[in-house]
Amino acid sequence: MRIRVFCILAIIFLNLIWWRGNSLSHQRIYIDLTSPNPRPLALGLQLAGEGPPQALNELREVIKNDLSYTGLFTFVDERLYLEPATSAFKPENWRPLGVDAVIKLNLRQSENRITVLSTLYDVNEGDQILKKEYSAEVGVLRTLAHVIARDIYKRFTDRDPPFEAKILFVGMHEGKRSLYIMDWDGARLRRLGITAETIISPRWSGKSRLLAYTMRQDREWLLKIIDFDTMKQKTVFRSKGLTIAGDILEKDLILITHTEMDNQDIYLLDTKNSTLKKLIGGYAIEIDPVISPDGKRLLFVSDRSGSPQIYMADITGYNIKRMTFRGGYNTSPAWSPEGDAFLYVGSVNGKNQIFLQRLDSTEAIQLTMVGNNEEPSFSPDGRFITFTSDRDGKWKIYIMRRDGSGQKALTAVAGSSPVWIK
Amino acid sequence: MKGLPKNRQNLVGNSGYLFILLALITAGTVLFSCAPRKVVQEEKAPAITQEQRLPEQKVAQPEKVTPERPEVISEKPVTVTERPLEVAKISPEAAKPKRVEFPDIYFDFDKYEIRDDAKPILNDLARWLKNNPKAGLIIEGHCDERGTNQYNLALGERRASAVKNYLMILGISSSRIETVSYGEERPLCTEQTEECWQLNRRAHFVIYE
Amino acid sequence: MRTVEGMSLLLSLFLHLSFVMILITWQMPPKRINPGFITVNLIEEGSERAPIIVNEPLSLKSPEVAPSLRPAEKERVVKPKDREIEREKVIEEALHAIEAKKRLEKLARLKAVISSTVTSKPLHEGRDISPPLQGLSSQRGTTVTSSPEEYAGIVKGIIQSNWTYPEVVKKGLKSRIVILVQRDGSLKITEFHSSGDRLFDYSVKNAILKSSPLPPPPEEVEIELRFSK
Repeated sequence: MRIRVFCILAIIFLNLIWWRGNSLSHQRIYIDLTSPNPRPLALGLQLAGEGPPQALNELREVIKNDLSYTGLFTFVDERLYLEPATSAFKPENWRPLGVDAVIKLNLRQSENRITVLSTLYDVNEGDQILKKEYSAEVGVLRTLAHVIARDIYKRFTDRDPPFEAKILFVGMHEGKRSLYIMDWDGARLRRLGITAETIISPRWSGKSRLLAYTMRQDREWLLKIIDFDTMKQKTVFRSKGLTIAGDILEKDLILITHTEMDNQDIYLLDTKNSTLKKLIGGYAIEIDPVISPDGKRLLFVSDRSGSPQIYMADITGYNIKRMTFRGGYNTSPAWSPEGDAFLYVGSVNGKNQIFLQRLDSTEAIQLTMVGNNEEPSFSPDGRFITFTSDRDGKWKIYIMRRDGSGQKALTAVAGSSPVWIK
Repeated sequence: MKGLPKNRQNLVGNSGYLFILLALITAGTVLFSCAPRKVVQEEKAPAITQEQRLPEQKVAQPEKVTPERPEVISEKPVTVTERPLEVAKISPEAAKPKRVEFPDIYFDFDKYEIRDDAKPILNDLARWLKNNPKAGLIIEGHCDERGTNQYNLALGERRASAVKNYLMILGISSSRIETVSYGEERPLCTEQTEECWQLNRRAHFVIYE
Repeated sequence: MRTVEGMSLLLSLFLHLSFVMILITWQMPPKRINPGFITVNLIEEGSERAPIIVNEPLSLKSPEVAPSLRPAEKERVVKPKDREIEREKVIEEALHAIEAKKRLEKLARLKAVISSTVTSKPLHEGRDISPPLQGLSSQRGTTVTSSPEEYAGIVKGIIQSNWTYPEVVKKGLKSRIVILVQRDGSLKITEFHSSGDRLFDYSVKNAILKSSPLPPPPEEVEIELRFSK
């Protein structure tokens, strides 16, 4: 009897401990964390191998500028590096510097070609996380650098940066207007061989790789389209009254502002048949149509309320809705690539400033403060905005980050109407 | 135990041993389950990097943070090229000769109505055009720099149209009048003052024959 | 005949035991102190000591956070205990520990009331206030903290201080990671629920990697970390 009792108790106690022990090892503590410290990722960049010194420098500078201008990365001063460029990666050489990742580039040159092996190491994991080889002619070294930077950016964010994009704008040449194109960082400025008395409103369609623009020649307004694949242009429309290129919807369909009977309205132009269809009209001025990224809506400027304001409509031309209510002079709308916000130019104390407004709000954030700032346009990835500013005395092309930080001039020459080409 | 029938007694006796056996089995199970913990305690901590790489393989879902395996060198390297960019030249607009000049007329901000101070000039202009039937007229509409290019082009056009309509009312045939808008593209001055802005908000006349 | 009766007896005993066990375990509180890691005596020590906040031990800005050693604690420091020692003794101690913890919490609350009138530093809301712990100053070491809540507080402080993110404005991102922290403080990521944003996941993973090794926990413990913006 006693044995029995003892055994029962023993079993009970044994199982007690076993249960408690098991539940403890599965015990889970919950910790909630919010609001990390905002701090860019710290990178190290090393180049090794053979190549002309200016090539190495250019490679280094382009990659550093591309990545740091995004605001996500910062580069640790080379003089602090502990590991020689030619040595193998060891995380303990980088941890004390607070570096998160290291880019090691290895160059090889043969005649006119440069080959670069790019390896990205994660210091905290202690391992390589990207390895890729590139080759290019020495003449396009900058493009090569942009591609390397792009892959690194993509590795960290899984997003496409605009490093390889170009910016096209209208500049001056011998007293006339001319089209110019440059890299997104302002380098390699070149003039396209188009010059005219007046050139306005260049518009790019990445889908069809077409550039539409308007020029005035022989007292006529001409609508031109350049095919960037063949680099040939053609005139698709001409008129005495004002005709301004709007967004290209499809290869043969373009939104335009056109004046008929002294009235400026928004039309759909079919370039194949040269037919015009009025989309949005009225007694007032209706101009500056920009199509939403999903192609379903458009923003435009109208002074039907008595002063120029931004309006939205369906692509059919119906459901017109006023979007801006701040101030009495709002023009120059531009969609964000996500389609959830738009930029516009509003007048503040007599000066033009750039505003960002979400579609679901009537509140707008002012992004520029100094001088006059106009013609804003989002980069294809939505993180950067190009615009024109006269803050330096003459109208030049500027760029800034989406939150208004990092404002800087891209050109030393005068320019207007910047457009992203990608 | 005594109260039970005989065969029961035997059974109970056997069950007693069974109990002890069961207890031992349980105890043994418990010991075994506890033992691994003890082992972990005594084991030295392995290197950090190895520890942390292990679970990444275990995790079922596509590990976004785990780096993609590096691209092997034997793969064809990326070749980078550039497209050439050149477009055919266009000849610029030829200049037209001028003869008579009339003063500019001015407009209010963001307006295209003809002001009273403009009417005397327009009356003179109309009279001259009637006396010179072969002459033609170009009306240029201009704006000050405020507002954006496109809007100012439209506004300039409206200004030029307004002048044209006024002259047509005065009897000038529309076929003799052309309008063009330059928006804010051709300012006469660039100071940011009301005086300068007013000078730019104008319609300019170009006579040709 | 014998075997059948024997089997049925066995079965009935097993079911009775299971029933008993379930009843007992359900009554147990979810977080229990492992027998062998007891800091019961802390309360008895110096009430004249300055009040201390322990939740965010790494933000050692307040001079009041004074990690000091209590001699009594040392005696109770964990050693790999011999499991072969009589279970009953262990059980007894466990029961004592539960009671002691309750006393500890009660006294801590009283202390909180006293300290709020004495010090200027505001007390952290919603947290138990416990006396300081040995393991504060060193990440590596064999000393121990007293309860899972306190340990959670320490871990939170460490990982939070190591968590940086390159962007300021972003939509509501959430990442959930489960780590298994072993007795020596080394950790393993056992579950990783992505936020959908690669950069965010990277920042969160780095926060954990940089925090390793953690101070040794009272027990091998699983921590679910929920990172959000």
